[in-house]
Amino acid sequence: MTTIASLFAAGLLIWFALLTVLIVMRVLNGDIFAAGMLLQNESDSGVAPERVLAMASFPAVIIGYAMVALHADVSTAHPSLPDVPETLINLLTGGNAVYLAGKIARGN
Amino acid sequence: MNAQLISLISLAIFAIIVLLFALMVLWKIYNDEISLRGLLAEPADAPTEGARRAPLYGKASLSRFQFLIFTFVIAGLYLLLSIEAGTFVDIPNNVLGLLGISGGSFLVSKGMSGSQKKKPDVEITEEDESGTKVTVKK
Repeated sequence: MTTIASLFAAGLLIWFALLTVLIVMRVLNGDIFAAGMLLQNESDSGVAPERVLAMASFPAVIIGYAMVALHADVSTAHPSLPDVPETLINLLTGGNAVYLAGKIARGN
Repeated sequence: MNAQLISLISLAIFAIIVLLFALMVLWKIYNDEISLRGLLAEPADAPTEGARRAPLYGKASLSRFQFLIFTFVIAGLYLLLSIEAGTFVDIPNNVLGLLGISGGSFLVSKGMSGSQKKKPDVEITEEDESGTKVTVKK
């Protein structure tokens, strides 16, 4: 039973990793359109600062949380994903609020 | 055939079916039968004057990208920790809140873009040179 479950778990992990690699490769090859993320409109010549701020803040939140989660102890009776530090939540909320405020202010 | 053997065979069959299904999805994505081209793109605007048809996709959306990355990271960590623990791990409320902030931003952003693009028509009734009333949509 344990062997089958382990193989199944490994298969799921490999599948998830392959899906992630496939999407990343497609984005890097340009098969998934990823251009213009920092522009408000396609016709804009310069980037929007609030988008740069949002783009900088969310990877910081993700990396911060991933570091916490990878060091979590799950050998307890009720294993759980770790709580997100308050700082990271504030950072993400702030970044997204600025992004949405910019979108509202620019009227699009 | 005892109950343990039956459950073992059932588990093996179930695992094979799920993994084959997952591999089929991955294969179809790889062959572009399931297209991911517009995964991050916003819907294209209406065709400009003189253009034959609108482009298939607009520019990439920051909120879509953010939502995608958050979903992948949380799902990946959940899968990893569940396998490590040997059972389903709990998801704390503030992790769901994190996903909610990201998803909420995406929805608000979509709502704002949609309301800007869909401007209401205004009907104006005018009289032409012969005195006939004509209703024009502007």
